[in-house]
Amino acid sequence: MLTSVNADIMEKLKILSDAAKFDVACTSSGTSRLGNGKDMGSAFASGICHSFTADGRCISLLKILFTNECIYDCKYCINRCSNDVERVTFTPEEVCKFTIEFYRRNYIEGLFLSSGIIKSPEHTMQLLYNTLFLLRNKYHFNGYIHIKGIPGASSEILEMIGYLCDRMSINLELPTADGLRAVAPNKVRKNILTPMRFIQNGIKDSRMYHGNSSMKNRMYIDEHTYYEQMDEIKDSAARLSEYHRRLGVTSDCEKADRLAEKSWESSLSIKRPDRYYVPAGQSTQMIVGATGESDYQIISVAEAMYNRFDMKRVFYSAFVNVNMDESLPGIGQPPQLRREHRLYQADFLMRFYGFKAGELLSEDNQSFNDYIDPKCQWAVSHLECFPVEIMTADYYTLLRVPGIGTNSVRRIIKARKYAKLSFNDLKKMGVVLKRALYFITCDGRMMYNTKLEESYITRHLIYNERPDTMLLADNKSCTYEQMSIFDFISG
Amino acid sequence: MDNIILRCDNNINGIFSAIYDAFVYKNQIQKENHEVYRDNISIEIGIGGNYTLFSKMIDIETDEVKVQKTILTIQKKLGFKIYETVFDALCHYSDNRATIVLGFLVRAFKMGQRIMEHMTDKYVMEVFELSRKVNKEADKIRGFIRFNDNGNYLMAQFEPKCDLIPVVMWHFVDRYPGENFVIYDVRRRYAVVHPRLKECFYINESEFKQLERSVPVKTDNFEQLWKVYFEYTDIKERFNPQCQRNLCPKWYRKNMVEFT
Repeated sequence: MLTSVNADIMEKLKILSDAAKFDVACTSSGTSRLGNGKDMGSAFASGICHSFTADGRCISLLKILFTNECIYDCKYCINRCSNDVERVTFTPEEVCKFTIEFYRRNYIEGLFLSSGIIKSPEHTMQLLYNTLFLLRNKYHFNGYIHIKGIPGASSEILEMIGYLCDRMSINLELPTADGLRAVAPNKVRKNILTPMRFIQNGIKDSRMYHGNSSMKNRMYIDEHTYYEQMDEIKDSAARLSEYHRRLGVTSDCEKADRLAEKSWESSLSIKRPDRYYVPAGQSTQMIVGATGESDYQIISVAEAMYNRFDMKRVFYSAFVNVNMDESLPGIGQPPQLRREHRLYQADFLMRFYGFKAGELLSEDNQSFNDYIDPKCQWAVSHLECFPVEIMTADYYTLLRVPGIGTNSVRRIIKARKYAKLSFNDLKKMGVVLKRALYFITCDGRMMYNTKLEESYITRHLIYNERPDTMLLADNKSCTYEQMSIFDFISG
Repeated sequence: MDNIILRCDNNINGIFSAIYDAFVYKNQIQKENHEVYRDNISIEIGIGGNYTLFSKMIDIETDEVKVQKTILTIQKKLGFKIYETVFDALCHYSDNRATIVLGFLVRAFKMGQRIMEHMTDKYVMEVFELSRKVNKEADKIRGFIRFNDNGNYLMAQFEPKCDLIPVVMWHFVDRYPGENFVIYDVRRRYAVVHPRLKECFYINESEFKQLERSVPVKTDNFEQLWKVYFEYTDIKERFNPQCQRNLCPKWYRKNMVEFT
């Protein structure tokens, strides 16, 4: 165990954590794994945040680069080869020690290892593999590991490393191929998508092997994708049984135990019957605001990632021009945090609420509103679907009401079997009435006397005024609305 | 029918004993008066509390047999999930948690396992709220507890609002089976000790002080490294202390190394 700390290692930690900080996706969710009773480590399904930095982002994993040396020259990256920065490299042992010692003190949930590229992608990936191998087999670390896949590495090494980590991610970097070409001259989109497909197939095979279905039950996939995926599953099932025949592997526990008992030096077998391949799934990330893509393009790409590559998450990172590169925007400007936030909101709507990218935005309306969130934006432009009756509406209809999330919908559906719900009950169940009240009726009544009208609701949502005060006799706050003859007739 | 106030010890066993007795009194009243029970038994935790007019005060002694009987009945009749909810609710710091749980259990034994679906009922809702608050804090605490390595064992001190040791300790027992560790609750003055690869047990304040004195004070080098990592992983361009305060409120930070 490392007891004394020399200045050298402190310096390395400073440089390599500083260089890794722009990678997003510091999540530790996706796998649930209890401890095995003797080794350190477990994984918590919902993930655990261990600290929050001054920028409000969570620290869940020890996010470091293996090295900040790099042969590539990507314009957005601080470690590009044309930058004159101090270059350092960890040894695998050092990374392991940091991980283990931080983990013991409950500082972190696991390791997030990324790297600049030394010599070649293959060589770098090999170094990362060595590190993980030590960590899992010598230090018997059973916690969460997220590893960055490096585009251009061979499929053999991707396969080996997939059995050691929990999540693998390959950065898409930019939403479109043109953007990538402009900003990252050494990276090719095809080289990014090929390993993604490989990992996706690996995950599918491994899940089949353990008797599970394909990765996800996403709420919505279009028909075409569905049949495509079913074909692929059939394919992978055939390949897998072939593979089993060749190896003579049976998925019995005894065999798994025997394999686990082997000492780590001699465990040369890579395919481990007791482990899943990339159990927490793969994720990817996109830089937002470095090139000219619109929100619509970005979420369409994200949707394609979810549907065709079975991504667990797509992350968005607001571009910060760290290199002060003249050819890129944003010098001296704050990062587009609001835009990033809206993209994440839309992302959640696509993953949990059954929205499609084409519903949220369209060719004519390519960007999100700065003032109201995507769900409200959708609702006010689809007023024909509202108001929704709380007591009778089905799950998916309720999910589309602004201010009602998955948890509240579940509670509503349980509770309404036994009692008539009032607005007060809804509030207690966690419904955000501030937003929901324009779109729902309880027992046939709206909460206040609100109008079902796009401009009216938008105005109220933005200024967040209370409708009951708005509709008082003097009508003070409504003075800016132009009166028309129709108001008199309908009123 | 008079109100009855049961007064019990300020710990989970005390409350479970009181709940047992509350049911005894409830059945007695119902038998004698042939009336519907109207939630007129309440449980006061610890000494203190107000005397109210027209009510009978009864002191309840903690009795291990009653505790076991209560727990077993809840688990058997209502299932383990409801037992967990009730247990979590009892870990909350609210003064009338025991009364709420009693009201909840009265309804639950009547309605059966699907009691949690009766969300519009006041008691069900409140038990749900309490357990949710406890779980929310536990989720934070699982991440925010910091262990300090003094050469012999890992030491963590924390001051949770709710009584969290029984809620979060299993997480750490599962995660660090091969470590000697101690988690001390500064506010409630007790600790849980986990010896390497053995069963864990509780100790009280004086035993804890003794344990603390028995090892020499040593600085932990990794605390320094962690502070460095914490400082360097922050993006200056995105500085947003309000967001940080929302996600990691300041009262948690007392015992976190990176903030001291």
